[in-house]
Amino acid sequence: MHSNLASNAQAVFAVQSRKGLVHFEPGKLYWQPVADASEGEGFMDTLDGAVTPPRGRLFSRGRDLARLSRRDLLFHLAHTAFLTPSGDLISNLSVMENLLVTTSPGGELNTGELEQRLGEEITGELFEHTENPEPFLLSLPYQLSPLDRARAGILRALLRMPPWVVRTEEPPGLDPSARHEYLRLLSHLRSRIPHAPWLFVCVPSELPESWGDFETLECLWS
Amino acid sequence: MKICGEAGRFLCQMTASLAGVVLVIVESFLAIPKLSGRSSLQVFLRQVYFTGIEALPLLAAAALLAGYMAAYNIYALLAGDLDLTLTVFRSLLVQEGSVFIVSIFVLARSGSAIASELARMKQDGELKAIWRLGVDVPGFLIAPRVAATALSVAALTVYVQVLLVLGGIGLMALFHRWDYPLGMEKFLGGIDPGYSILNMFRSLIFGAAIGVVACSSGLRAEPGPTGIPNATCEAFVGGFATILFLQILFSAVD
Repeated sequence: MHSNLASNAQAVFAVQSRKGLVHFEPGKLYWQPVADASEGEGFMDTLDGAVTPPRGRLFSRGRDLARLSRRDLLFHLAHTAFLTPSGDLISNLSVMENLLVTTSPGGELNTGELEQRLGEEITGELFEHTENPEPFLLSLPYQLSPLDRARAGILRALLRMPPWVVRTEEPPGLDPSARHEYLRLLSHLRSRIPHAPWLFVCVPSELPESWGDFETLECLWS
Repeated sequence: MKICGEAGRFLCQMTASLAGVVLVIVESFLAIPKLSGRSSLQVFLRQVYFTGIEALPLLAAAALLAGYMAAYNIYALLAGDLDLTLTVFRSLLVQEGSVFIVSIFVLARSGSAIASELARMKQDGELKAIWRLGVDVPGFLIAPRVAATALSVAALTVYVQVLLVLGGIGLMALFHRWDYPLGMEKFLGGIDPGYSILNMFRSLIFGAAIGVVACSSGLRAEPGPTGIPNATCEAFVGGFATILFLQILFSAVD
């Protein structure tokens, strides 16, 4: 079921906005403009708040915005690819261990399946310019450069074949060649999950110019 | 009025702390079946290594020294009565004191570390990221740590008890010409198996309490530069108070 999610044209996400429910259609590009990084974080907090389980109120605010059932939201959230500057990596696990951490809402992802996909990806385009991916996979997050953290986030997305991708800001401090590589990795991810809608929550200069038209959204949170 | 306000604030803080601890206890208990998961098992084994294995050398030195000093002082105080010395040594230090010593040691070492680690994860947004990934936070972060500290305290208690006896009777035999075989025979002859089992249970409870308080303190860390140090401090003070309370409870039951 999980491997078919990306190709299922009906697997879209809906979020309540000021103008009503926003449906994210398969393969389309969306842009939520923000003034700065803190607004992007605010969106992520809102998304967390939309699916906060009662006991989770210790950790995040609780505001229910989306009209999907909580189970549906949790399922989508767990299988959404969040591409954040930090890569959302667990700091005391290596990259490999981070990639193989299984999820629970909506069902377990089989570790064997993840390992098989990992084996396919490390010989693919993601590591085109890397001779030996092993040091990368065995590194702890603090040992990684911003580009490598982004690469880990994209690799995790490729393993999970998400139905939806949310990208907040670009990794900080990328020089032109690193930014070019980062955009190449994003394009590779997009080509692998063509039916997934993409949501960029960022400033205008961080939108990939060659990707085509983005539908601009008004504020997604009330 | 100001005193009433301060008292009220203190009461609210205490209630919040207790509620946090109770919540962590419940979540840990409910997450026990998830310990068999690969990720949780990794966290559990790592915690056992840091809490239990890494503490062995330091505890060994401390236990040998404490055993020797206690036996020496008790023997001197009791004017050379070997039977009474061994009875007091067994009851006070080996059976009662060992659990307390190990608990304080683990609390200071691992309790603080667990609290500061979880506090940092909370401040860096890592907890949110873990939750967003769909990873069950109690099953992945809390239950393995609580289980690991419980198991480590229990195992370290047995370890320390053996070394206390070696330090007490062994070193006294080495330096003060005690009869080692006679001393061991008298010591072991007075051991109550039922009480030893209760002691083992007590050490498990103490260890779990340390894990629970440390996790609770870390997860409730406040934002800002003082969040992590406050969580660490709260873990130690709260853990110490909890251990004392449990000690009184077990003594009352005895």
